[in-house]
Amino acid sequence: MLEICCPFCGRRNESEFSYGGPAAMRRPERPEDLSAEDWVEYLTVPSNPLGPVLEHWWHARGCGAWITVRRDTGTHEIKPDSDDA
Amino acid sequence: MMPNSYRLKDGGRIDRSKPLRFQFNGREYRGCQGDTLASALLANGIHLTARSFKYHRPRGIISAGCEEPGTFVELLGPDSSGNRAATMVPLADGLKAKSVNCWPSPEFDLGGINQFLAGLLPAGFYYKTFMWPSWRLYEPLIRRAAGLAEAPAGEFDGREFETRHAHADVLVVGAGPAGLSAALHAARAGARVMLVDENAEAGGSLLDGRERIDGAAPGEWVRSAIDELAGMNNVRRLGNSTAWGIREHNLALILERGGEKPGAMLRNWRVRAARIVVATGAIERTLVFANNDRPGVMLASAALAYVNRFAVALGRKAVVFTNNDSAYASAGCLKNAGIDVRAIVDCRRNVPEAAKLRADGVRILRGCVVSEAHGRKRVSGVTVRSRSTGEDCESIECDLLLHSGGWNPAVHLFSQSRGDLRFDDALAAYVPVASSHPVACAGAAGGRMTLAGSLADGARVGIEAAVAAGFPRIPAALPCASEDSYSIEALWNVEPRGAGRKCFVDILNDVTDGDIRLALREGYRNVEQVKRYTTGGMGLDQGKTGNINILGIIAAAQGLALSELGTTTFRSPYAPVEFGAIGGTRSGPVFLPYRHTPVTAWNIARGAVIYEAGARWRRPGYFPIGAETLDEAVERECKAVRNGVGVYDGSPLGKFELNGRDASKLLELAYANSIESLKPGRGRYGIMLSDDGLILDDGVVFRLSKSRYLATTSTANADLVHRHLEFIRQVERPEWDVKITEVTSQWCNATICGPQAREIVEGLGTDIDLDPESFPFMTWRQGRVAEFSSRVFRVSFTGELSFEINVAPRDFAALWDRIMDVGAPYGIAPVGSESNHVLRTEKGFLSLGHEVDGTVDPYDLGMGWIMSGNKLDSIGRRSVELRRQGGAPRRELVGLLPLDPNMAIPEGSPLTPEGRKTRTEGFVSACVKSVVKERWIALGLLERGRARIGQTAHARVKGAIIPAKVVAPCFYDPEGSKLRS
Amino acid sequence: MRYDASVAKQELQALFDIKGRADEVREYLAGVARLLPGSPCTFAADGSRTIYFLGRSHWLLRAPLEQEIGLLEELRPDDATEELSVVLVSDSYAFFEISGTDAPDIVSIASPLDIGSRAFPEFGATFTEAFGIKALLARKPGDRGAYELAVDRSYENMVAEYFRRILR
Repeated sequence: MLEICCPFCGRRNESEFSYGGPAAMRRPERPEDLSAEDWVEYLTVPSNPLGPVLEHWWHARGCGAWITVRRDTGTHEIKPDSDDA
Repeated sequence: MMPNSYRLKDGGRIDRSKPLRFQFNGREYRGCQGDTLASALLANGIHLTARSFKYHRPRGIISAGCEEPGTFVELLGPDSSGNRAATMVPLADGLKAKSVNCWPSPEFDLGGINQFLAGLLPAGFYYKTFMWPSWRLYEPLIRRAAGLAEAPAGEFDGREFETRHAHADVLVVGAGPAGLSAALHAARAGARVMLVDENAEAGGSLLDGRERIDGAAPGEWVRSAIDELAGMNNVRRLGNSTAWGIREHNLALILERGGEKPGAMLRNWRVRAARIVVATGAIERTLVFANNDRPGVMLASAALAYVNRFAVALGRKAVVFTNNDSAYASAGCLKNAGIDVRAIVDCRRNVPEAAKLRADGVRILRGCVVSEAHGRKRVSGVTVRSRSTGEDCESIECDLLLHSGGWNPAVHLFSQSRGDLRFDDALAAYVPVASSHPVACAGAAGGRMTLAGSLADGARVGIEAAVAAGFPRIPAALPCASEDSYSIEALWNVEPRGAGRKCFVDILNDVTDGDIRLALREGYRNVEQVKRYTTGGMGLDQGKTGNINILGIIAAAQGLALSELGTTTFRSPYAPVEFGAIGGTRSGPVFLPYRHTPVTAWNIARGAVIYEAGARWRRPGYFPIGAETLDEAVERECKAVRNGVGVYDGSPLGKFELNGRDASKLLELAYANSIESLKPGRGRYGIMLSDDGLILDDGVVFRLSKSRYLATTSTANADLVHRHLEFIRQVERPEWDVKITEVTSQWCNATICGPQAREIVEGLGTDIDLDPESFPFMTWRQGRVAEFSSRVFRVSFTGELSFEINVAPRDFAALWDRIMDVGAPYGIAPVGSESNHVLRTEKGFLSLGHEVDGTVDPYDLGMGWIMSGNKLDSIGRRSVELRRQGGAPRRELVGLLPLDPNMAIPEGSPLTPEGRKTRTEGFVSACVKSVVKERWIALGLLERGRARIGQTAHARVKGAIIPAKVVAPCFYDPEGSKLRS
Repeated sequence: MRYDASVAKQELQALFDIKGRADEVREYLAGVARLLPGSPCTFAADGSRTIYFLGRSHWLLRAPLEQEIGLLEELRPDDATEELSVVLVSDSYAFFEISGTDAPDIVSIASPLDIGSRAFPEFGATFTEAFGIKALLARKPGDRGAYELAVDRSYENMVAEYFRRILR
């Protein structure tokens, strides 16, 4: 059970959150302009490294914010995403 | 009743004035307040207390703590629980316990025949023997033979379980010298401290030993420390509490056994701590020699505990076998208690003088080992071998053999926190290095093997923990204590003389040194493999006393140093934990979460059969009258809707208000079809896709005003859609101004459906004009129905004229009663989910989880029009287009009429070409007995299905092939004149 | 009974869910409640009315039920400016008051939230998890140290059953 820091609510139990997938890639602004290969790449090939990754988490049972956290998949160390602050 | 023949006249921390009666294996015994089950049995001279797991060898009590590998018992009565170490069961009046692994008793055990078949039961025996024809054939038999305790049967009426959360700046595990010192210093700095210990009494090793602190008995110092902690309101201390796991981000799991009264509560604490101090001490290890498992062969540290804490003489004539200094204190302690200590057998050539002093006057056989213990149900003597000659040199008669293989820092919790270990050659043990989590070891758990060292280390770690948690640094205040030496020479095993003599490395799981060597010969190389193959160290005790010997033997066989070998990960639970405690309050009626609407009670009173529908709602499946069967009740309900009027509770439908300037844009992006053009007062069916082009949900969106919408979702997907919409709003389009508010529980809805629905709404009394011209299909109106403020929606899931009357929950039960009253002359029927399923299948309306199974897009469902608008982007659109460009055949929604009209096709049945056993080309998603067609009808997804209308498809079910005609997926009112009426 | 605590289901009250920028909310509510809580996860009481600050731009206004009609007329949710979202949610939540010496123990059984006085002082109010579901928890001021726990009303019976099991 992780402890995740919500920018509004502070440190909270993972049971308040819902995992929302990797946050490294943003959805393309205009999917129709992408080549088929690029669209499939965006959709189906997220990287899964050992080390720090950016993740979306929804504070579903808290303030409702979608937050971005930087979690180390090796140690679980969590830092708020600097871009998000 | 036996007298306590082995109870010492005085001393100990037991209360002789409070005798307790207890039963063990059906016989009555007597102990004292303060005893454990183990100490009480030993006080009665009972050493044969168990039979072993595999060979059913006689076994006794080996330790005095949670490391016990010898005797596990099943507790009976109100505290029934299985597989409890006898050393960790506090004695209580009336306690009933029985040995596991033996029948009918440990003295006469029928399974004991296994020890004579031992040659047939080598390592990996089960893997090798019971594989043909199938493991399953043998499994039940083996499980019964392997025994361990039986799962308690029935309800735990007398037993209370609870799970509670707590938070601490500093959690200290262990209230021995290091833990107390750490807790005192952290608490003095002002930190919120939690101190837990597995014993009822604080003190740890100080309860057993005879060291001095500040010139006084250590109990004095313990008492003053406890008093000081009790006086601080930033400290919480738990006794009888075992920390059994550390999870991510310093979440510690602690099982508190609520004292000694029968039926006492088991409470599982989940403690989130900024810092954790692991002050769990060290655990003494066994030595490996022939018959090292006989009753009466015990750890040297156990002698200290039993003599000093419990005032039990373990025997009359003792031998001590050791490779380190600490056992000398045990020998001295036995001697002082009047027990004849006949020799200390020390494998070392040189024994430190300080150690010798602790057992002054006892004969020491240096450079010798015990090569074999004799006796069967109780040790009767030992053979001593000289290491220099390799020859047996002496036999000594005894009824007690103490042994000590050295000490392992109890790094289990530290390791669970992803802490790294290193092998320390001086201690011949693994010691903690660093953790990726803020967890630190103190005292013996950190490799400090002296009392003074532990007190100082505890203070240091406690101060640092408080500082790291944001509190001021305070100076250490240390009492004066002895600095006893500790030295050890590693000894992993003593070779037995001749085959057939068993030397156990894992006493609980019956694993011998021979098993380890066999595994190595068979090609298992690393520690993990060898342990899994032999099951060494995988028992209830997790090999706390013997694992290190397994590692030592593997390393020696491979010519490696232990530092090169590495160790396996320590896993939770540190000690057995009752499942009930993990579940806590969440059991019985609240085991699964559930949701009610204001008429759930009415439904139950009406005799409805209640199902759990999506999203945890308890909903009526059907409303049988009298002796009606499911089919009869459903047919009656469906006919009421088709021919008269019915009503169902649609409250669980997901409902969300979207407000703001950009609400339209957000819905436009979220739904595949266009929503923007919707006029206030109207509603539109919409389909929401995920970006992989598959259907996420469907529902009706109503426009409340220019910048306000109400979006409805399927019941099961309300949370999913909420999450999806919020993701778009906050992550994809944070620049848009739109707010989303869930109103699922703000509006309950009674859906009145059927040709006579309008009469019912009129009968209820309303200020809304119900004329179809002014209130047509797919519009909504605000007004009063009965006397209640309402939003009325004209949508339909049954294909009939329907009015969804939405009111506040406070009014819903009253509205429902009124509908029943007004509807009574029309024969109104409350309708459950079974009938809804029939009615929507007749109409060919989609159901999430049936036709929409996460693999289909709108075209597959014949709803390509959804995608036809000239929207640039909506979520999922790009993927749908891409996939369809590929041109691969898709499964399409079709209707199916079984050629035999009385034949049902089980929902989920595969469709295959001609019903052959080959690749499926679809499946049956719904099959119901239609009240309008008076036959069985079905919906299915069939490859290129639309082009095959008129042909025959085949459902392949067990033992039969059911042919069905492929038809359009709508069996009732395809023009939709009824629902528009 | 194991705990010195009691749990009482609260009567229905008027509740308005308000979303928008703080300055706009303050202006909008000026005639209704003078005091807006300044810190995240707190509430402010103004006479019989309470305002909870629960998310970056999310407030909850609570008042006795008899004020509901008056507040509806005053706030006119349907006509609020496009910048604000005002939704009547009175029926959406079931409130329980937990009081007594052991009230913090009861809350700690329900929820993993840190309710220590540093992390969650008097006037604390936040959405959190309790009994596995989303819940609004508030800590009332005063020596009695009572808490309020609100859940989606569809879970009211389940939560009542949980409390009954804890307090038996």
